[in-house]
Amino acid sequence: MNEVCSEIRDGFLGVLCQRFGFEKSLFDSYRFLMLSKKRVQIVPSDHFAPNRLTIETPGMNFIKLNGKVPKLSTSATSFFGENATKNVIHLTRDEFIKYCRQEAIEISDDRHTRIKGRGYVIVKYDGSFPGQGFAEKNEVGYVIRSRFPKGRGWHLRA
Amino acid sequence: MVKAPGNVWKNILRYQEIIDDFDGFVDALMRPLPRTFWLHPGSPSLSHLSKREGWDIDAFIPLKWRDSAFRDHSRSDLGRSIPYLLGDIHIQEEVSMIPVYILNPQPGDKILDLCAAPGNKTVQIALKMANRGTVIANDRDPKRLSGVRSLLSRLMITNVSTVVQDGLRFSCESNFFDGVLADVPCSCEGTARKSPKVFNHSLADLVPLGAGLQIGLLRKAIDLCRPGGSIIYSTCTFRPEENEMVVDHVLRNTPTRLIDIKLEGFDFSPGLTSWLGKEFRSELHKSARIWPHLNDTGGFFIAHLRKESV
Repeated sequence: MNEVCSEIRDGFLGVLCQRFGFEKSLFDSYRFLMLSKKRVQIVPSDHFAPNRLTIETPGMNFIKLNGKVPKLSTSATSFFGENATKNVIHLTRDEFIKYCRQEAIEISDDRHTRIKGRGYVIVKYDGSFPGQGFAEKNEVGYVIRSRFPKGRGWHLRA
Repeated sequence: MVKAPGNVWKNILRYQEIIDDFDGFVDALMRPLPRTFWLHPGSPSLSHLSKREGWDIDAFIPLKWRDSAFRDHSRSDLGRSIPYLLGDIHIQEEVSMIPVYILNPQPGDKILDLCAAPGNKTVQIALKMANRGTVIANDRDPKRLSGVRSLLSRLMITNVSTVVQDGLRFSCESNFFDGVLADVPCSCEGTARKSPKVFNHSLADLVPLGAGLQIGLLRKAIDLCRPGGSIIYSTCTFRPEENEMVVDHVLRNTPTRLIDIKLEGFDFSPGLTSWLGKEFRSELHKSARIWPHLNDTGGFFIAHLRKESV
């Protein structure tokens, strides 16, 4: 599996750092591998599979490059989310459960000032970072469209 | 005696001679298995989670032999809870936690989980290594490996790469790994508390297991491990044909020796050194037989092998 070339890596890391305020050095101890044309995996820099081995999927799913804007995966959001300084939205328990069920959440209170324009936001619930939503402006603030993986939250007890 | 179908009692009674408290063993098999779980190292404390979720923290009894793992006496549906969804807790049977505890992988190690699905031990390995280094999770069944990947995703694992290969033909350079976990397919008798039908087997059904598959997998694990590295062989069955007989065969034919298993706060019996008139190497007593009645768990067998320099 090929390592991501520096041009592509700098491209998506630039977008992530700008949107979420990550320090670029956060990713220095990792390597990025192309799983397909549009999908990038992340592994620790000291992760080395044997040469002769055919790897099915390396490390963690990191980012998808097929949309207009690269999208950080849910697991990578959970893993790196605590390092984000921008576009992080705290949810109440009820909102979080709606988020898990892929329902839209309207943010009309002060929290909407933390969202810096249309685009992906990192969702935070009680210190955890379960994933991302897509924020779009509406009349009262923002509506967050859940990007929580389909099926993962269906069985959740309220 | 409770009525049971087919070969069940025949298969249980064959252990009468090797279990100190056979009645206690049978009683334990009749009881439901306690549920156990562990906390993700990055998780909030259990007291915080319990307060938030309305759980009775007194219903969670810490396991004596390892940190951050608990026996659950609550009636909470942990598997459908928010902490489970967020990867803060993971439900795993107590005996299944032991092989990785014995393997004791370190950050930066290269570890192979030869028969990885469903992946509970894989994530234990990855987290014990602090999400650094190399873990290879192999399974021959792509569908089951897809479940492993979901688990890796929920528990935020970065250091595991998955491989779909038949473990017997695992294609990779010899001596690569610092440690190998061979938690091999078996007759699963030790899971009888969850699924009593596992005892209803005939010897003929099980011939491929003791006769070749497990020996082949363990030999492959040894080949892939570097000299000085550790190989953990484990099964969830009581059958000596799949446990001591396999390890005895491999010890005689590979440059390996057994290491004592130490588990403070958890009772087990030493491995057998003979069975049905067949003598095994005396060092087999260093392996561990976990009987359900000793700690109110499932059943398990674990052997810790060290690969010697040739």
